Amino acid sequence: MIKKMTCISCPLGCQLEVEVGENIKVSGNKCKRGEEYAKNEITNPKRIITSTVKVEGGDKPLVSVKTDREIPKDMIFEIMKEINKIKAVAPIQIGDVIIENVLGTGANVVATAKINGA
Amino acid sequence: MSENEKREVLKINPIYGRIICRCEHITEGDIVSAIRRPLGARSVDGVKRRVRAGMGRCQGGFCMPRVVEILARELNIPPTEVKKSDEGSFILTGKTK
Amino acid sequence: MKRDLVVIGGGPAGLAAAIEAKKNGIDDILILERDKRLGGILQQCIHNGFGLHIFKEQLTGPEYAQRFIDEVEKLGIEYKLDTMVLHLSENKHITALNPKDGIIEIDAKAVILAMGCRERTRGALNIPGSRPAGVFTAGAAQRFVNMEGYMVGKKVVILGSGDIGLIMARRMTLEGAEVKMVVELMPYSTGLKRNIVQCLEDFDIPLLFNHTVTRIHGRERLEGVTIAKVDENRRPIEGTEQYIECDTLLLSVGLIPENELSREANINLNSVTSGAYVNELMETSVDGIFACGNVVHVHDLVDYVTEESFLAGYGAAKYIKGEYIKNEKGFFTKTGFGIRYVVPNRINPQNVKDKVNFYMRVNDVYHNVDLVVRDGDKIIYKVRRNHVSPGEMESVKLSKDVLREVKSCELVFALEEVAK
Ligand SMILES: Cc1cc2nc3c(=O)[nH]c(=O)nc-3n(C[C@H](O)[C@H](O)[C@H](O)COP(=O)(O)OP(=O)(O)OC[C@H]3O[C@@H](n4cnc5c(N)ncnc54)[C@H](O)[C@@H]3O)c2cc1C
Ligand code: SF4
Ligand code: FES
Repeated sequence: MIKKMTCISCPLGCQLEVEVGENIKVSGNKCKRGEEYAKNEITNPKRIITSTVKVEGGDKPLVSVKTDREIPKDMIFEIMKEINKIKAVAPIQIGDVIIENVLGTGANVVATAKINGA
Repeated sequence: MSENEKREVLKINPIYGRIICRCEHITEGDIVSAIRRPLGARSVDGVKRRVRAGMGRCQGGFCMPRVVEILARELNIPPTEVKKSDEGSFILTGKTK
Repeated sequence: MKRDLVVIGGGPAGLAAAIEAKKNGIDDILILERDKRLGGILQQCIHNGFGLHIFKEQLTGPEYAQRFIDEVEKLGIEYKLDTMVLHLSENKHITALNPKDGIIEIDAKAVILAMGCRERTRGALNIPGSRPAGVFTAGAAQRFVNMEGYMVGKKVVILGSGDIGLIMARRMTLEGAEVKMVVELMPYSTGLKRNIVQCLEDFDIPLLFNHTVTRIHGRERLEGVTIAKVDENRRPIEGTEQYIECDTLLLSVGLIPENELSREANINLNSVTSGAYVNELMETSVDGIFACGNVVHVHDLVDYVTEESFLAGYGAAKYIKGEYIKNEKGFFTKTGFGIRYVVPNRINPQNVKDKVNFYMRVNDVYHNVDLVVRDGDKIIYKVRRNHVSPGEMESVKLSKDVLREVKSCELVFALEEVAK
């Protein structure tokens, strides 16, 4: 199978063609980083998630959050479900852990904004 | 209102000191009074027709979310029930959380 | 009230400028911000990717803003929230309004403009059809979703592939909406590559180049849009129309500097950027009025905003302390082939601290070009670029020593084909 993707390791944005099989073959890359990028994207794509969490007793209704490290891309929607379930209680500081080790990924969901009590 | 009149009104009601529509310089006081007056505004377009909030160069891009908030508060309804104009012209489709 | 320095706008630009002015010995500073908190547009940009240049880490918008807010607090710089500046005159008289103090009149020795930008709505105005609910600028939608916690729709089409539109495509998808497509008038996107990959490709959202929305359908709430292909002149091609069912249309058709106050103060504006002409210390054409950030030209990286704003703060401090040399020495910057604009526009090397960062945008996508800076016939700077695009700002650093050697009255920034 051949997968098309755009390398985002530099502004050039090479269009890569990646042959996925026993060995991963990359073409279209103008430098080595493109190959690395493509291999990672095929074997273990990861992303940071940013979203919001409902706040109780705060001066704002929501607090923005992020995962403090990258999580597997195919778990984005499952983790969003966890993020949507939880409530945070004010006051909240930047970096406060809202969900620890979310779904066993090793990543914490942490607050990215400061919320004062109401 | 002229600047002098504004100064007078402000002493009585501070919400005339909060600009909601920055393009047309319309205050929260202007909007609240457009809602509370007899046959007052019941929708975003209603507010726009009465006090010009949303008629400016940004076409409400900046003030519309704030007008929705004020309408919800003044009419005592959730923001999801605030309409743009007629029945059915709802602006928000639900809560995210 | 009399003040040494008034900063209009408490976004990243205003905060950085105030901090730098304070560090350069100005104590009497007042920041005026119309929102209920400092931080500007960054407070609603909850995605990450901010601060790679300045902090060498990927921060979200609110985190980036908080670093500067904390610094402002630590330095004891005074600010007023919920305060809108209504008028600014050429002699630096400011009229502002807030619920607590009412109308505030201030005479400032120096003013820094940091009002940011607003979203263009031009795209919407030219679309025929009804005016139902469900048409939002991407920024207004972002505010509803990220700050207030409300969804603006379930089936979404986005017009314009600028960064805000791309970011909102992902946000709406994560919150459960179906984003049907992003429609882009031009053959390229002005958004960052990373955003196209991580906001669209990750979620299989199609991006249609050379397309636009030609009609809006629905009476009360949006029911659908008609899209069509466009020709080289960006006009819809008959017979290519397609009906797309959707309840929401987000407009992400660009930003424009917020310059009503600048106009009132008779500041010369550049018709290309819609922002003020500025010099080596970010001073506008009006004596003692400085400007920085998105009010000067629209930035995609807040790091550049911060750099530019430090300079404005430094300049205003020099001005107030009377250390700012005003004379006719120096030169102008000009654009040559391929360059749409360059900031700053006038340089007097005597006032330059150690270097000047020139920021510019190209007018089209080019491959394999040299970005050159010419002083008359002489090339004083040259860098190879494999790929340039209007969506990504270019910057060129020139040192004080190089600037002092400039002989002609114009420094020309241009793209040149690479000699084979
Ligand atoms: C939606 C969006 C997404 C972005 N994404 C990224 C990204 O991923 N990475 C990145 O590096 N950069 C990003 N940027 C760019 C970056 O956020 C901006 O360049 C930066 O916020 C500009 O700072 P500013 O201070 O000039 O303007 P703003 O942040 O807009 O601040 C201007 C401030 O001035 C205030 N103001 C305006 N007029 C008045 C008045 N008359 N009286 C009082 N106060 C006033 C406003 O309320 C506001 O707080 C993004 C920008 C936007 C709009
Ligand atoms: S392959 Fe190399 S040159 Fe091409 S986009 Fe990736 S990092 Fe840049
Ligand atoms: S802020 Fe109301 S129309 Fe622009």
